[in-house]
Amino acid sequence: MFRTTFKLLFVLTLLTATVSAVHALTVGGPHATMGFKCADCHKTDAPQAGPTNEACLACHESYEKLAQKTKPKKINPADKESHANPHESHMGPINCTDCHRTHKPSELVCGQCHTFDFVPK
Amino acid sequence: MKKLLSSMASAALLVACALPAYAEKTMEADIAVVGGGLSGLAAATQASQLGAKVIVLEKQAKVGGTGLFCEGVFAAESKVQKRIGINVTKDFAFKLIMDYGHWKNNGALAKHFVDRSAETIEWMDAMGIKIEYVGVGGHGGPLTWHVIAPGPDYLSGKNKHDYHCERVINVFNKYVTDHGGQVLLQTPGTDLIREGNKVVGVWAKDKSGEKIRINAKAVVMATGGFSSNKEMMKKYYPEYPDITAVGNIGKDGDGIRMGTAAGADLEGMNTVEGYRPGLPGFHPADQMIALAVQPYFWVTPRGERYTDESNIVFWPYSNNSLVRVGGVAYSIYDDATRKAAVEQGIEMPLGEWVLAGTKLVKWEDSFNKELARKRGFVFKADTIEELAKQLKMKPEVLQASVDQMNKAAESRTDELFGKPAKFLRKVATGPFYATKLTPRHLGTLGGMKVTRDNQVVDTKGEPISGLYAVGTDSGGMYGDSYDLLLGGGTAGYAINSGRFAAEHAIKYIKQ
Repeated sequence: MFRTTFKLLFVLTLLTATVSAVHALTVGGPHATMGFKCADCHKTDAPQAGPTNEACLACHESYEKLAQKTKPKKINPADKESHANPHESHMGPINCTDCHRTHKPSELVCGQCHTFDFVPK
Repeated sequence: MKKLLSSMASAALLVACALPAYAEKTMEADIAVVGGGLSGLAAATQASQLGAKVIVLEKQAKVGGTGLFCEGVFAAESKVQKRIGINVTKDFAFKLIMDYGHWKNNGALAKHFVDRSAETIEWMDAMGIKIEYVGVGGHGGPLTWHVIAPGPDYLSGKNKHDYHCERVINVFNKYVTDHGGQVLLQTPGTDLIREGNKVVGVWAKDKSGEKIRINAKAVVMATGGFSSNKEMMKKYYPEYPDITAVGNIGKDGDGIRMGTAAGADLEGMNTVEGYRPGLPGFHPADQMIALAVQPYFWVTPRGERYTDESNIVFWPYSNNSLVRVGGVAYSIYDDATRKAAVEQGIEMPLGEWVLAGTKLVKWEDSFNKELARKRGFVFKADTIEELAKQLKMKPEVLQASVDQMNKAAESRTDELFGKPAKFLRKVATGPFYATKLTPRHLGTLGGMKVTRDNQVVDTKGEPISGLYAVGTDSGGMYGDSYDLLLGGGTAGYAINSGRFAAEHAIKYIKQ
């Protein structure tokens, strides 16, 4: 009996925590000064998950366009890693939010296996 | 108390209902394949060929999995081997596999794999997958590694990756989609659907979070093992759970988790595909690593040699000896060795990544870049004493090891480990360089216990109707160590096991 009560309490606490945590989030990174509201990216005022690529690409056009922007400036044919372009990788068109974050620091997914010098905005 | 509980329950229910309710979508297939890597796509291709409607679920944004990382596949008694006079018989290969694994392996499965391997090369050939040459697993070993030739898109410049196993992925993927199959990207399988003792489908979740119910007559698990799952690595590879995984990310053990929930037995869970030691964050072809893994002078953090460095020919051995001493070592070489590698080329090849004789002209750039990062991965000093201090070793211990190495190089005899004389080199001319070596692997090799046709079995050995496991979601191909004696084993098994599962599943469906 007590165990059930605790379980329920735990679930309730978790739910409350999730809801209040969402309210506490602020917009950081390059979007910080643009007056963004949750729904601008998440398409809802009470987001449960990160925004979709479609939402990001509504402003940022396309993966191909982004790949043009991040094309390596200097390629050394002998150095495989100098060919690397974060928007045209062997991972395919992964979620933008896999690297780019608004509520916490961005993190390069490639960094799990490679040491690249580029830093995601 | 009861009242309180019920009111709390309704409160919880209310909150739960406030969450957006996702619509459920249903799809129908003959065979659902969870994971679109080499084994999953092989199963999907074979099943499509046999007339089945196939749905492939892939967690990542692109198909291929760790199949994008390999170069060739195992076969014995293939046409090309016979044509150029390579005498690797099926009997020889089977015996070698089983003896290497001390007969801990699933013999029926290994025999099925070996016996069908040559036919699988022909099967791929008919779809336009050609062989460039037949190579080895470890240098000097039997010639079984059928390296895949560049495809038309590589030759036309349209796709620089239409080569090696990625060529196979491209052909399989196109075959499936051209023949009525569906490949759903960023849509992982989440749970099996069961009816009584039968598996009758799988739940999936697309990238917007929408649940999809896939009704299927059979499900093939091909999610690539569990190398990205920290908890499972701790449980099954306690010797060094933080071992660096080379290969695709997102291998979270999904297939094994779902299979276990359906009653699957597991086998060989402690065996990983041990690889050449190295460092996290470096490409397998990095030239700083390429010089560090030349088989010259490797020491423990105390400063003592711990192995015959040249066992890196069969890199699982190299991994085993490194893990045995705790998983950290330093490869130390002097400026004469550096100069030889840069100007004359390396002695020990790194598979297809860095060929023997490659002049390491990129070494300087890579080494100095890493030195500047000050991460404790590389070191440089003018004297052994100074290097020992940087490595926090007792200088007298490292000096004694260096002296012993230099004596061995002069006498051409390695008293400690019997290393072949050609790899005995002095560490004498400053400056001296050190690179940290830590364990790496190419994936986990244990998984669901299967029959020779890759049907998953329960703890009583009874096949679970409608459930198959292939590639590295299935266990049983190995003993306690990854077998590199026959090159192309893992990739070859991935493709062959995919075919076996598809063939059996079609028979099962028609019953």
